[in-house]
Amino acid sequence: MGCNEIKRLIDEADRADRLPFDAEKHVADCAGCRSFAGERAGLRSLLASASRVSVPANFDAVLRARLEERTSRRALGWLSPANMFKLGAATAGLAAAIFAAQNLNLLAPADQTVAPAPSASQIAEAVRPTAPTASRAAAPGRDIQRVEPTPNREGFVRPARAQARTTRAAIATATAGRVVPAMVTPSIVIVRDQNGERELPVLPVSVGAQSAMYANPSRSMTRTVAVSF
Amino acid sequence: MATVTHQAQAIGLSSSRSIEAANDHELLAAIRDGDEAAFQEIVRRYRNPITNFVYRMIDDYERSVELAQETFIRVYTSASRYEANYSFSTYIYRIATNLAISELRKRKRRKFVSLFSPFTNDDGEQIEIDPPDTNPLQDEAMIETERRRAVSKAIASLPEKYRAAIVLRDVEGLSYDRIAEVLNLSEGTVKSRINRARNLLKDKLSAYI
Repeated sequence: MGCNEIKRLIDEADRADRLPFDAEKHVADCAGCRSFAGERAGLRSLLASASRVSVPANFDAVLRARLEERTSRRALGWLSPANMFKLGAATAGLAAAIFAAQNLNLLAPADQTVAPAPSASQIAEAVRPTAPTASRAAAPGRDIQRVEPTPNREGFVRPARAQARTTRAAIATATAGRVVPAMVTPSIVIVRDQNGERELPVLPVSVGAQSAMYANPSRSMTRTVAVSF
Repeated sequence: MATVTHQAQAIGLSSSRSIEAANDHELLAAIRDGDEAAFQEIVRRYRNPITNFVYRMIDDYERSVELAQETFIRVYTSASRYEANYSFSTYIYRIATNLAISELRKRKRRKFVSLFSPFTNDDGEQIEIDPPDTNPLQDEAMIETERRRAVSKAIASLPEKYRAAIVLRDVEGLSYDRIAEVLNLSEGTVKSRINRARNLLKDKLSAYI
């Protein structure tokens, strides 16, 4: 057995002062290994005799306090400021995503073909001013002055109900052949003045939006001047 | 490595058996059932060895006390998940070792700058200028103090992987197979690291051997 192997046995011995038999026999005859064995024994003794520290007097009390704090923190962990912040951020992100989706018309059904919305001029062309319809109920406490419908360009005067149907049919004609999602279906606002009721086209707005519009009944047009939410 | 499987069962420690006589697995089973006295006994048995071990690893007494307490907190909070495949001392030393090594790595990242050693060598590592004290030693007490300080300093200068192995072996007196379980290494690797640690310490402590 060589010196390297003996030194390995010396190093791995459980006790520095009790070597395996082979190592003992070799060390007795080998000065180098004997010096190594003595060195290792001195080092291990030095390390073992290093002063040991002990805990302070309040160790148990501080440990108990920390343990109570930790267990109570775990029970209400979901109420921690970090979790509340995350919840708030997630809610804000969800609200922003819904708002963006509405504005970008992303919530439309996927199986419908989205056609370009009819322009205001197309809508105005399809919609003619109509006489007030008899079917509209009077406002409470107010009599409706029935106004005779004015003839159209061709000189024909259509019944009010027929004109209302024409309005809706005209819109359908304007958008015929194109499947238009509900979000871009043109809207109509009814304007009542001394000349009667008129149905004016309104450009579509987002759900929940409030638009301020300028209406020009004589020209059968409206213009959105502001939108708020 | 011998693996001993224990079937830890709750035992009425308070009535039929004294807590001091219970083994570690029985105490842990009692802790799992909410026995505070069993937890206090575990703390009493291991607070000094664990604190001393962590102190040897990080060379900071106050922080070693905090980490020792953190070790017991983790034992308590994870008592339900403890599997009695190893001895409890292996389990608790493993927790303490991980905490100590985490602390050492955290300090390395922070790169603490000692007010007393603003010097660095060519590799950028901080070195301490420790001029020799030429005053004669006064008495045995001072010699002993100086020796202990040198041993602490030498151990603290070891790389963390060597430090854990040598402290568990030559300071705490654990066997090679137990150290292998604590550090999750093979016995051969443990022996190799201890051998290298001793070679490094021999050079630093040659004046005291």
